[in-house]
Amino acid sequence: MPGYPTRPAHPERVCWGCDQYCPADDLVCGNGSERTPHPVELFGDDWQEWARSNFEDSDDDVTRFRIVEALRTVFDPEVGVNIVDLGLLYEVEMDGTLAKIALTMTSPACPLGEQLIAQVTRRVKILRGIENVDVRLVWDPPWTPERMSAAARATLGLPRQEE
Amino acid sequence: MPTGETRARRVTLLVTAALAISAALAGLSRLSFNLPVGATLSSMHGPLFVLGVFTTLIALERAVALGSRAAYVAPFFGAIAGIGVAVFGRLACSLTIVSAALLVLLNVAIVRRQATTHTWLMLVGSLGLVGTNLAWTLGLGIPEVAQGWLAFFVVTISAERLELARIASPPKYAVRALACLSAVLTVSSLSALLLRDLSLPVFGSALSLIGAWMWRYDLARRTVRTAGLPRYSAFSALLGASWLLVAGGLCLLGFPLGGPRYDAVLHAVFVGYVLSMVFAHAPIIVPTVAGIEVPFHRALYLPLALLHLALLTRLVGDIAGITEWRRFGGLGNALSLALFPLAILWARRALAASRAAPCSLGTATGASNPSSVRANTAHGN
Repeated sequence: MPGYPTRPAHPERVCWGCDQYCPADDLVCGNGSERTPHPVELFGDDWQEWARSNFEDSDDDVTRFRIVEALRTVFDPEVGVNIVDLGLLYEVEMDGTLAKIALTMTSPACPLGEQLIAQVTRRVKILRGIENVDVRLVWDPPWTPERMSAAARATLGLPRQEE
Repeated sequence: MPTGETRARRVTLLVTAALAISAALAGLSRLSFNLPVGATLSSMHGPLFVLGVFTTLIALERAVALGSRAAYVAPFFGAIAGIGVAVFGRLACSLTIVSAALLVLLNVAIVRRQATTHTWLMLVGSLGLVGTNLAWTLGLGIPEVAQGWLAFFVVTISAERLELARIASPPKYAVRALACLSAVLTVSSLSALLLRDLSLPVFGSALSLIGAWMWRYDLARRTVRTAGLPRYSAFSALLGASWLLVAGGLCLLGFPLGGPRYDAVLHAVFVGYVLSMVFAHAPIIVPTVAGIEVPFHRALYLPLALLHLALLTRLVGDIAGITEWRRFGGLGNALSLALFPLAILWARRALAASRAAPCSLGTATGASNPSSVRANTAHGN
């Protein structure tokens, strides 16, 4: 991961939400109301190994897990919720060093698709073990609100989903 | 380096901005401010804003969403139709039929991509626009067709809001209600061309009910409690919805062909709802359309506040018959339009300053200061 510090000295002083690395209380991008913490704060100094040790499956699964975690830093600018919790991520596949990602959007009339693909590509490309990223937008099956995570619903103050 | 496509979008945006400036100056000259504006341009204040500026922006948004080069014909033609209307006035009104028809084609492509309630509503709205522009070309006056333009924007924008509202899982009847209201609004705006007295009360009720729908089901009700850009955007949306309630109520009291109440209804919707939504979405859309970063900054609330306060002044002037209030309300709206790009520049400068500010970032990977971290990653854009 070139450029992304694995063990910063003062992770709490910086928002790690994107690659702008703003001071913690700036929130200039308008995405959310709190800074995004560094993984080192959540999982400790050995956070990179943490992901690995929790998976007994293949390396690909570990990489896929890290891709999903990285994509939690890509936000829908109007809703203020990341694309993973919003349920826009349909598929993450590894083919050697190529990451294949399928995304949808809440509306086919929304012009943000291109920007979303660019952001996702940027976030994923810096991950270890990935050389190329192939992001495509899919419209079938259509997005439905049931795809949102409990975290997304809580952020928006929505009631919990009935089973 | 911007790609050819980005350049084409920027040119379209610049032409639209120039049209907006001309339309605003034309509006000021109609409020008896002494400006060097010709009679043609002055008489085309409304069509220029509605068909030259707002329609082109919507077509541009759809074209970017579709991502095909052919789709850009629609916003290009929208801009050309706008220039035509600004220079030749009514002589160019047939161009607006073509630009509306091209927008219909874009909406058909979007429905084919995914047929949902909100994409169908966008298509219905644009079909209404073709009918309205046709009626205008056939010789009806601007006041006689204005409700058709109101309907197009209200239906299109509320369809976009419905798309977002789905996140909060609104009940099925709420979605159906909005679909019915949008259809009623479009149909009554067209039937008003023939049966004005019968149709306008229906039109006014639908307008108010759509405003009420937004207050009840719009996602803005949730996101207004968050922070930053989503909150700002939600504020603009809810304020806009309030103006729909006002406009619908005024329509029910009567929507004459001209005069202060006509002025009030039109500006409540076009300034209070449509322009407020443009302000709400510009920081979201401009980065993706023009490749220009628009960070959120509190300064964006300034033009928004001026817009709504000035509009309130104007409407009070209209209803109470105080010409000066109407004039200065209009001036305030023009200033809010001028202030908006300045607020964006301010936000960009603030972001640049915060990036230049030093912050401690000792790292294990050898990147010892933030600027070198950025040098590695930020230029992948």
